[in-house]
Amino acid sequence: MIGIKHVSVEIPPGRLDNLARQEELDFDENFLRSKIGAISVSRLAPEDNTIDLASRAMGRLLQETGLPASDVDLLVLVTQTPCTGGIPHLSAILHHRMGLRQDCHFFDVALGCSGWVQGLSIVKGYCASHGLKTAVLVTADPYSKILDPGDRNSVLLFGDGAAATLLTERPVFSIGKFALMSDTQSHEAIRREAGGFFQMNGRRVMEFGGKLVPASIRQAIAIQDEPGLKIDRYFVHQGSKYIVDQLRRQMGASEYEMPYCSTDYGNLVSSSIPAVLKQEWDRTGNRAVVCGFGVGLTSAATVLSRLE
Amino acid sequence: MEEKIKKIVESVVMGFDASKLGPGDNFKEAGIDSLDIFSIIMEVQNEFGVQVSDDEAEECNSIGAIIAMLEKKQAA
Repeated sequence: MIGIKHVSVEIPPGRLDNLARQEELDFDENFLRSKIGAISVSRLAPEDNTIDLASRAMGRLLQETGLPASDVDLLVLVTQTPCTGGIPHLSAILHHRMGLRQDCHFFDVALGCSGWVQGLSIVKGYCASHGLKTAVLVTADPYSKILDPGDRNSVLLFGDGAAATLLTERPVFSIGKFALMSDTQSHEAIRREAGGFFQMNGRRVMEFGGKLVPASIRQAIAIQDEPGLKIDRYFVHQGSKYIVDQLRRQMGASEYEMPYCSTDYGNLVSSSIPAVLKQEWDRTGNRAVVCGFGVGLTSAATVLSRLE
Repeated sequence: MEEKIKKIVESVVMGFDASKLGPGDNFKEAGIDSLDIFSIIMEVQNEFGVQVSDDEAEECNSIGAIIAMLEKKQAA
């Protein structure tokens, strides 16, 4: 069965200093440090776009692993900011840029902060169905392109970034069964009108984070059919320091077990969990929960088991 | 009811001593920010089994205001 072999992360070098914006956006330093968490947020260069970010992440993956592009059987690209406007799908451009085989399967998936975890589920099932052995899951979202520069509820939170995850039949981590929880009654809590700015109802998202996100984690642990399953680490979506703190409290986890690691670059949307996994790669323990939550509102979770 | 809400405040706002917080003391003036107030209201909803609308949440700026909101709901 296919599992995770390697993760590469592309965070652009550009930074917006959140601390320098206290007067302009009317907040104090304590609020920034204890609630937002991101002291700076990563920003893509204005001339670059989603496809450039995705290409760099996948290029880095091929370089770091030495995997020939011709070995890739499946490419899945998760994004909510397709710079083409949706036609063609970005994975077609990425397929071309990376020089993948003509019989390599590829498609886009429109998902937000639960996108990496749901993407793992899609890749795992798709490869099993079609007998594919090597897949790359790319997540890429430069949200700065759709944020209102004066909206402190979003500009202080979101950073630009991408990740490329290699899945093979000789993985480092196997991937368990998936749990999904949703509150689609609150689908408007995170939204964007066509051509407009990103909007978020913080209270709705907090409520979702307080109820259904921990429920999805508990369900993901329960459905693995392993009584007494011990979880060593929790790599959860880095929405903000506050939401990770609240989730940690709800799950009774320590700061080490459920870290907030995004102080330097912010919330990377669907790339936030692979960024944490990359950072903690050698310290995952035997079992780690991964949980992505956000747009929809959805929360997806599973358990990764270390094999080597 | 006041003591229950104080316990909620202390459980939600890390390191906060709610013992000196009077019913009329404004949360924000006492150093409790908007995100913490969201969490307090969320816990109040769970504890008292009520649903608080966005408009009602806007008014919940003190323990007394939360009590008034709860009493209004109970009377309805």
